[in-house]
This record gives sequence, structure tokens and C-alpha cells, in this order.
Amino acid sequence: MNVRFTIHRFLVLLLACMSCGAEPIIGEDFLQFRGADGRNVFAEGKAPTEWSVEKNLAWKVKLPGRAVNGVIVVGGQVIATSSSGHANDRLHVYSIDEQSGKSRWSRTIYSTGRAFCHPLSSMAAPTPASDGKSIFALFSTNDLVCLDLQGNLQWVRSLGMDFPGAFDDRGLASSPIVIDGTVVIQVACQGDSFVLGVDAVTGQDRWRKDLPRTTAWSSPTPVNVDGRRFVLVHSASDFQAIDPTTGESKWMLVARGALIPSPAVSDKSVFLASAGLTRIDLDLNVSTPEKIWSKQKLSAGSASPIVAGDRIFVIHASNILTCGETKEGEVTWQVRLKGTKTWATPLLVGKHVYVVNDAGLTQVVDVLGAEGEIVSENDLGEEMLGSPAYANGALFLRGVTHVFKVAE
Amino acid sequence: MSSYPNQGLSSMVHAADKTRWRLLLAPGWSRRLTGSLVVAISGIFLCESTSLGWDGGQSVTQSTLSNRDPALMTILQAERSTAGSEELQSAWQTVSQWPTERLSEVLDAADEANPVALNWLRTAIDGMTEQPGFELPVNMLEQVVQDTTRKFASRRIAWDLLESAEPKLMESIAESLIADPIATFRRPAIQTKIALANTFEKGSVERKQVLDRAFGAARDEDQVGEIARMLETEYGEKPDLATHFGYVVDWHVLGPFPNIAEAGFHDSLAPEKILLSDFDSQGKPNPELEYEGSAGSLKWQTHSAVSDTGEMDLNKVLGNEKEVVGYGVSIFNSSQERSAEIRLRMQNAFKLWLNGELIQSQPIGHTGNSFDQYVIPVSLKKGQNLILIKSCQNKPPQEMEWYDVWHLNVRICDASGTAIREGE
Repeated sequence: MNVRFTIHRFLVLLLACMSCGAEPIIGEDFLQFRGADGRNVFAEGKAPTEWSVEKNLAWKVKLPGRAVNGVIVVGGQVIATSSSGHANDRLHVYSIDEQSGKSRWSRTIYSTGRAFCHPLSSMAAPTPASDGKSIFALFSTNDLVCLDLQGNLQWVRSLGMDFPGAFDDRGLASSPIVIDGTVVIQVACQGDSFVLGVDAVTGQDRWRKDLPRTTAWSSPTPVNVDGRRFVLVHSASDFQAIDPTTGESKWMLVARGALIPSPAVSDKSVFLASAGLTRIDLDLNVSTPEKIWSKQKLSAGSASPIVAGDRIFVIHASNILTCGETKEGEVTWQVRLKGTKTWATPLLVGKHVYVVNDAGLTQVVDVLGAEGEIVSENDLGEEMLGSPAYANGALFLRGVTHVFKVAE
Repeated sequence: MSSYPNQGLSSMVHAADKTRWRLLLAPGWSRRLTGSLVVAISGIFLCESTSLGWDGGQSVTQSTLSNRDPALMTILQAERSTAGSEELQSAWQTVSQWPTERLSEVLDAADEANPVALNWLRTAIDGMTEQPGFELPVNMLEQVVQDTTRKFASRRIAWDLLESAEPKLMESIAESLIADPIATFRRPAIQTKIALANTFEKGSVERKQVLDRAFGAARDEDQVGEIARMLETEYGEKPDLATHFGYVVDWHVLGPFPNIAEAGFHDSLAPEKILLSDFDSQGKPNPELEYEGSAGSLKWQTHSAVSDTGEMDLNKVLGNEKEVVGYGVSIFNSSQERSAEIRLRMQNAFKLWLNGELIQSQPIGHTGNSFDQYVIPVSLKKGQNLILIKSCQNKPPQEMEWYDVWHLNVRICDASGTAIREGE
């Protein structure tokens, strides 16, 4: 393979993917799981590559309870959630000033649904979402709360009471997204499994669709195809594109899922944790999109893959970071990471991929060269399962009890 | 909307007056609410009452509401259909700006709120506490926490507010809650007792006295286990956990029956027709009873659950098989007619009958393994009560260790989690 050509094309495509196809980015906020466009790729960004408790740590805030989700950044605030109490039934939403790390406001609600989970998890497993005006915090209890940026309650829903047959006592973890004024919630479980569109302003249901009765922890993913927006939903056995305003399914494929990783999207393709990793090209002019390839060597563990330009980055269950090329799905290089488990979705900023493992060690990998190179290892010494966020030149890491801002 | 395969749903509903609120709650609520109108379905409460608000057992009448501030009245009537209403948002804004003096009013309202309205009130209180000049009324909140005649909602809010602002005070309050009727409040009291025990020398009489007191009062599995281990390792006493928790230990089990493609869960099989009259005065089933199982004729076998955990491992007694159904039956003698709770830790899909009535139907299996995972308020009759449970083992979708579990795990207690023993 012509390495120089590949690197050049990678850079060109990286820049291209920043300028078209993506959801509009409000400032440099990080509005939901994997960012506003759901890609977790910030090719033009710049973030520190080295930090510790003494270096480049802008602030560190301890929050009550436990969280295994990521934070979002909106309107100068970092929004974090957690659950606390022996019964996991106190559910918290916190606003932290992005610059100072000081608390702006906090809100507590009580669980109205089942508050059971695996000891590793928390009711604060879904990452909150925002449309830049409101904050939508979903908990594993199926409690959904909407607050404005000042912390004023706009509405609260008990999806556990509305849909009592939808639960999994191991703990649900799918993150909501907000798209075209609709908050999309995926509750894939062995009971009354569904994907739900909730009006972001009124809190009322816009639509609801049944899903297969098998638990899946993947999150809905926004995608923009030829100027039209869809939500991609990958359940245990199928994969569909849904119109966020009507709930109409544009197409549906049979695609047995890996259950935890969420789809990764580029401008024209989606990469699905199914049969290893499967590339599907998006085309509005066909009734059923085409599966291009499936590669077992690109199978993901728990973390979702990310796509940047013509490269895809996958973390295997054995904690190996694999870089593949998107055209044929061939493996370009692999790097063995320290640690045994990574839950967090990797984050690409500039030429670096940030991989946060469950022990709180972030390994920064330079992905520009012919081989991936770990350029730094940054240990904050706290269990971390949530995905890192990037906004305004800073990284925001969520440990199970602390939020960390890393900035130069 | 898809249907949920919850057979016998209507039979599990205790018809209770006319419905105004129809709320489905998590089992956590049952641990705290002692209301007689609470009925559980599929581990989730279905509540029916004449009340205009959630009261956990005490009706909130329209006249009660009309005496309240209009903003509180609006919030108390919050429900799904009013989720984003401007009236509700405006009421929230009003209450969230109230001064310290009006906090008690909001706490009173909290005791009458349904779970959704409670969260409107709870967040409004957060707003109140963030207003400039708001001072936490420590004495009032302390009284609310310690007032066991109040509902769980206001006491919990008061606790939360004090805990974050006055942690030292809470340690002293906690000690007084060791016999609280709500297990949530006992927990910190037990924690202070364990801490106190640790100030005494290991093996000392003083330490044992504290541990004995803590063990008797503890209701949470982790705390009970911790104290039990201390008593056993330091004093050579093995506490009787089966008695402490009220585990059903003595079972008559039967199986396996077929459960191909999980059809056995829905099928009404012959053992489900068993009657109290099929048992003798000692609680033993008629030895003549015989059933046709997966591989021939079956009879009830008598086995005991592990006393420390209440675990009745069906793999050991009925064979380690998949796509099968097993039954367990036990007779519980109650000295009086009384309310009680049957609590289960079940990893398998199951159905539960009490005295021939289907009271729980849970089609989902292998989704967690938690103490008191399912909580079902029931009425025990005086004398023999027939408990029948059907445990369904499915075909594992993956090769994972936890899919091998096929068991029964049942205990009988009151609403505070205190064991009800036979003859009581």
C-alpha cells in the first residue's frame, strides 16, 4: 500500500468530513453521546496529549454517587449525571461551569422505574443530550427529565410507568439523541422493547416503534444522507433508518448485532457491529441499502468504532486498537493497548485517537503515520467507563465519581 | 404498541375502588410504601385508588388539594399528559422561588404526590435551595426525618437536604433510626453501629453487644452479611440468615417439564392445578400425585434451599437441563390473617401463585440477580397458605455462565423487610 498516498488521503478526507454531511455544530459544544454529529471525530481540533493530577488538569469535580456515562458540554456548562443511594434511586443532573469547574445548579429526581443493574454499572449509564436550548437526561430506570440551561424543569417523563414491560435488571445504557426536535430513546430489552420519539418541547410521544425482544445496549445514531436526517437504530437482530419526526422506517435490514457498540457513520456509509464489522452504504434512492463488506478482524468489543476519512478505528474485546481502511475493510495496523477492558468510545482530535480504559488510563495514539504509535499514557487513577468529550480545546473525562477537565 | 405476554394480569389486580390514578412503580417503592391499595404486577406496582394523588395508602381528597397553594395543586396533578404544559412549568417556577419558610408546605405536598409530581416538587426544592438568601431550616428538617408518622417522600427529601449540608448532624440522627419502619432509614443507623463496634476491641463483650443489636435491626443483605461474618469469625456464632430474612427453605419440587421456545412459560401445566387439599397437616403433598414430565412420570420431591441464601438450585435436584420448567411448592403457616410481602430474587422467568391465585407473572429471564428483585404485597390467610412457583429455564442465546442458573429464591416479610416467621 502506498503509505504517503494513504496518509494524504486520510488528511483530506478528515478535513472533508468536518465540512459536510455532519449535523450543525453549535459553537464547539459537545451535545450528546459521541458529540453533536454522533461521530466523535474532531479532525481540526487540538487537545492536550499529556496530563496528570499535576499537569494540564484544569479542574476536577467530585459528584455524589456513581456514573458510567459521559458528560456533555453546552452553553458554557458541563452537564453530568449520576445515581446515588443504596437502592440507586436518587438520580442527579449537575451543571458545572465549563471554565471554573464550579457548580451552577443541580437537580435530583427519584427513580420511578426499576433501579437494578450489574454492580459495574449505574443508573447514570446513558449520556445526556442537548439541542443547545434544553438538556435531556435519561437514566437506566427509564426516567427522562428535560431542563433548560438554567436548570428549570421543562418536563419529566416516567417511561418506566408508561411502558412497564420495558426493563432489564442488568441495567440499560443506551444514550438518547436529539434530532429535529425529537428526543430519540432506544429501550431494547427482553420485554416491551421499543424506540421512542419524544417531542423535545412538550415531552409528549411523537411516535413509538417496537423492537425485537432482546436486550441491546447500543445507542441511536444521527445520520445525514443527501440533506435528509435519519436516526439509525441497531437492535439485536435488525438495523433500520427512521425518520425522526414521523417515526417512519425508511428501510430495515436483518443484521444481528453485537449488542453493545453503536453504529459509526461517515458521510455515505455506516459501519455496524454485525458479523464482525459490516459496511453499509447509505443511499436514499434504494429501498434496501447495500452491505459492502463484513470483516471479523474489525469486530468491536464494547466500545463503538469511529470513522475518520477513509479509516476506521475499532477496539477489540482483547483491548487491541485496530485501524482499518473503509473501502475494503482491510486492517492497516494494530496497537495493543494497556489494560484489559475499554468501555469508552475512542475520540479522535487532530491526529490523535484518545482511548480511555476502565482503569482511567488514557492512551493517546498518533494515527497519522503508517503505524499507530502510542505517544502518551495519562493516568487519572479512577475507574472510567464513560466516553470522553471534547469541546473548546479541552477534554472532559468522566470517572465513576469525578469529572475532569483537561486543558492546556 | 406491542402486547406484553403477562398472562393473568387481570387476576392479579386487587380491584380497589374507582380508579383515578393508575400507577406502575418499581419494587423499590414497595419497600417504602405500606399502603393497602398497592398491588404488584410483574415486579412493578399497579395501583388503583380513589385518591387524587399518590399517597402510599392515604387518600388525598379534592378538598385537601383545594386548601393548597394553586401552584402546588397544579404540580400535584402532574401526569404523563401534562408533561410539558406551560401551566406546570409556571407552577414549578413559582414554587422554586419560594423562601425558606415555605419549604414545609412543599414537603407536606410531597407526601401526597404521585411519583411524577414528586419529581416536579423535588426539583423545585432544589431550585428553592439555590435562591440567594435561602437558609436550610435544619431543625424542621430534622423533625421531618425523625417523624415516622410521615410518609417516605417528605422524610427522604429532608434526609437528602440535610445529608449534603449537615453530614455530622446526620450521623447523630442516624443512630435514632435503627428501628425505623422504613428500611432506607435503618441503613445509616446500622452503619453507625458497625462503626461503633469497630471502636471496641475484637472479641470484646461490648463489641458483640453492638453487633447483636445491629444484626437484629439490619434489613439490607450486604449489611446483614457483613455483621454475620463478624459474629461468626470473631465469636464463633453463625447467625441464622434463613430465619433473619424469612427465606422459604422447605420446598417440594417437581420437574422437568418441556419449555421449548419458552412455550412452557405460557402453558398451563398440570402442577398449576394443585390445591391446598392436596397437602396434609404437615404440609406434605399427597404422595399419590403423579405428573407426566419431559422424560416420564414425575412426583414431588422434598428438598431444602441453602439456608444462608434461600437458594433452591433446580439444576441440582431436577437435572441440569435447558428449555425446561420446574415447580416449587411450599406451605406457609400464618397465625393470623395479615398483610405481607413475598420477595424474590429470580434469574428465571417465573409465575407465582398464592392460594391458587396468580400474583406474579414475569416472562423475562436472566436479566439480573438482585436481593428483593421482585416485591409483591400479598394478604396471608390464617392457617396454611399455598405458595406455588414455576421457574422457567430457557435456551441460552449465548454461552455465558449466568444462563445456567435455574432456581427458586423466595422470602416472606413485612413491608419493612422484616421476616415473617411461620406461626407469627
